Amino acid sequence: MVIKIRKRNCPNQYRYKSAKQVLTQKDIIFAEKQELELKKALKKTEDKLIKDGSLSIDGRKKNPLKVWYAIGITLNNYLNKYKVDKEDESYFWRDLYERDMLLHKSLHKKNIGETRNDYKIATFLSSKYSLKDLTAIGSWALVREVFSYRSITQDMRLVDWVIKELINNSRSRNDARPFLKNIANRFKSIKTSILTDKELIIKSKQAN
Amino acid sequence: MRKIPISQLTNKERNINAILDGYQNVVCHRLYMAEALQKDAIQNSWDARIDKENGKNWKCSFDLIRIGRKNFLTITDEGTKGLIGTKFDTPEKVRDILLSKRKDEDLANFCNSDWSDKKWSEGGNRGRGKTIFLAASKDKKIYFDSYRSSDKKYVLVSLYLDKDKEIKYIPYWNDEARRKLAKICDETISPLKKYGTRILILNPVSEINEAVTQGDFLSYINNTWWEIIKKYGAKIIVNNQFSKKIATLPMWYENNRKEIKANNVEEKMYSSNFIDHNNKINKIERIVLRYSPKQDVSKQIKGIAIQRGGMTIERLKTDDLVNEENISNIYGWVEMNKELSNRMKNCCEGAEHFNFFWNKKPARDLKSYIKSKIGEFAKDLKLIESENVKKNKIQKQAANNAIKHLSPLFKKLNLTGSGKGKKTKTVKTRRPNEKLRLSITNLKLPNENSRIDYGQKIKGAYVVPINEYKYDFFVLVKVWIESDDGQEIIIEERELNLRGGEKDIKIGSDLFEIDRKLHAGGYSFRAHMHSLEDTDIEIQIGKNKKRVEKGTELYNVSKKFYVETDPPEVGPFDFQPYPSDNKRQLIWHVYSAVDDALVFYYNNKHPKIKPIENDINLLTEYLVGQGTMLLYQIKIESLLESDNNTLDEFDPKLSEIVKSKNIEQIFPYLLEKYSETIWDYLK
Repeated sequence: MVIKIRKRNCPNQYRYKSAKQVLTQKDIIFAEKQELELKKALKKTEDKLIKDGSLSIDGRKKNPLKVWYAIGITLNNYLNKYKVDKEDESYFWRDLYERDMLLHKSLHKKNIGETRNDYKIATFLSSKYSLKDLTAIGSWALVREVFSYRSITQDMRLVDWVIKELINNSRSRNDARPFLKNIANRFKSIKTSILTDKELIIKSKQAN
Repeated sequence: MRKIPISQLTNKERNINAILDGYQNVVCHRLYMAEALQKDAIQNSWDARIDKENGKNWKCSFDLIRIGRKNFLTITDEGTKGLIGTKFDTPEKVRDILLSKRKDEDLANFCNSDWSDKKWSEGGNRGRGKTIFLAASKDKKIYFDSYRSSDKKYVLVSLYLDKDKEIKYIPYWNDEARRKLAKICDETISPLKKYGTRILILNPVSEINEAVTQGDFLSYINNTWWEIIKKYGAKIIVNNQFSKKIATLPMWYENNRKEIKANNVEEKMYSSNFIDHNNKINKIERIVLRYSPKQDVSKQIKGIAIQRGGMTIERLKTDDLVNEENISNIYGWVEMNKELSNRMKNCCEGAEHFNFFWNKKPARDLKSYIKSKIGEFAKDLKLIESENVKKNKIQKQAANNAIKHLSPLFKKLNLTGSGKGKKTKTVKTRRPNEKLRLSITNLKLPNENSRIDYGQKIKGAYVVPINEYKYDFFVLVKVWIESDDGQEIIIEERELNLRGGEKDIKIGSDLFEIDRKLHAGGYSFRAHMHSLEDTDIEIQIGKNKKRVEKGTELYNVSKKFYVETDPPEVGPFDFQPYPSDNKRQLIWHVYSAVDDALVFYYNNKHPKIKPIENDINLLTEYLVGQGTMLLYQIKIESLLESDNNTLDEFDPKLSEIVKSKNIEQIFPYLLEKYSETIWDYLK
């Protein structure tokens, strides 16, 4: 898939990027169409969030969890329609921060790594959990912190277990941090893909 | 007195050997006889199926059986007509039957050679199948029995190579046949109760036994007969005395590419196309092309399978068809219409049903059609490089060559480039041997630098797991090649109980050939070892002591190399193209404001450079020459800025020019240096 992306920190300068290297005119037209559709969908979601008061017109988020969840739903709908190749994924997620949007106006977007990409996290979460469940965890900041540990994100079964643990046993951000650290350290030098679901859960519980 | 003509006598033993040579030439591996045998056996059986439309109730099983001192490989089918046709007992009657060329004389055709006249949709008609059965017997003796659907008669035939080098056979009918079967197999095998045929190969040769026992036989079946397994659910069973396995569809041929357990498999299908616009008869029904970007397609599946009569006759290697990198992971298949199948079988197919003669028509047209479709598919997937990508590669390579050549001069001139300033160099030393480790001491790259070209081989592409502890570890060792963009080619993955003191097991391969399936770029030979069991043992892993539990990474090792490309030059400066319409810009240098890196820009829109930008040698030569002038110019600039006392004395002539500030001498000096460098470069 060819993606229309903005030049870093220059929202008005575009280029077309794809891991497949060669771009045809047809690819570019298609990329333009997709870009327009995504732009409209994100704008619509933003307007809706402003209307219900979750997002202010200067970009402040009254309820960040709700705001990101709504964005996640929008992106999921888009990605279900247009498949982004694995090789092109990094362009796609990075470029979301280059858009002129209220959502990330207050963020320092210079070096948003994959693990801290709110759009990516929101898309994953909204595809798997309900807003009600995630609200039980507490803040958006805590939810995204789960994704900052590489040894947790190496296995989505582990992410799922941690999220469910946070949903079922609500903790403050400060209390949750030692828990996340313990889990991350527990699996730091373990290849979880060779563990069965049961073994993974047993080892996770040992760290809790 | 009237003379009696004498029939020519043939040494059939030599015939058998000649036929085997033919198979060996086209199958090309040690177990060729096993691959040929399964193909001919199933082909005969599938052709004789009662339900021609869907092959309903058809079944074919291969069983290795031991009866007393005798071994048998039996091939039994069901859902077939059996060996139907006129009953015969004498040679004269057989001759009459064969000469009559009547249809459905399967028994007479099967007992004799080269008399069959099969249709396009059927497999063979050259009589080689029986020869391979006979050749597969150490005693050169086979039996076959059949329960015939046409007259419900039971027949058993004993066929053998006689001492007079003639192949002879004796048919037995009904009760006599039953008695004969009981005698042959000590009453352990019963006569057939369902319509069908069974072949009993007496004392199969060791290669056949090996292939059936070790599983190669089943994989030959899977890879040859996948079409009938997929379309009709054909049941083919292999029983090797220890286990019974059913032939399955290789995952790469799943109907839906999403069912293939590999990432991002791409597919394109073309249907109902004429292979030659001037001939409106020969048509392909379907050509399916698939591409697996991440996972390596298994060696047996690689290529485009040319299907006829439900079997794969030959696989055309894609990288032989389109000479481009990255093409070898395209695979697929071609199904032909009946006219094309018929012509391919009669005009172009090898007698062994393992190859086509591609220089004959219509095979030639078919091949060029397949070639064009692969090209289209590869272009759609952007596997074939665009002119721009090629141009970029040439420019990058030329820049690397020029940097390599100019780096000594850069040092000699005592200039500073990228990474200016103080640097703390960390000295890497080899980590001490851990008691549990993977050794790659025998790994040898073919060249002194880490570049490897196509056709070259990595020697000792294996690891030796070493366990210097007293206790055993149950581990998983994986050895693979990984490209810089994350694509993996597994060399070997093995679970093993690593005994205390063990150091003699090799995991991997003695030789790993670099072929075109690896595109140019950086790669790593990698291996890791993980524990497969929870233990209470604590051992030193890296800097820490850790308890060994299931999943613990016990060791990893990696060695970097570059395919068809030089290892990146870590030069003190860089060359970069800078397209510009400014006539005054040809080549110039800039120190980056961010990191002080020295960059030489050249204007590739300039009429001087444009004609040579696609020629690696001319561009390198140009960059070397101009780079020399620029390096001296930078040196002169720096000398002019320094005071006379600090002028270094590396070149008295230059120091003299600088001190005298005699500008008219500078250009001749630069030309001299340019001339010297280019002389050395071109020499």
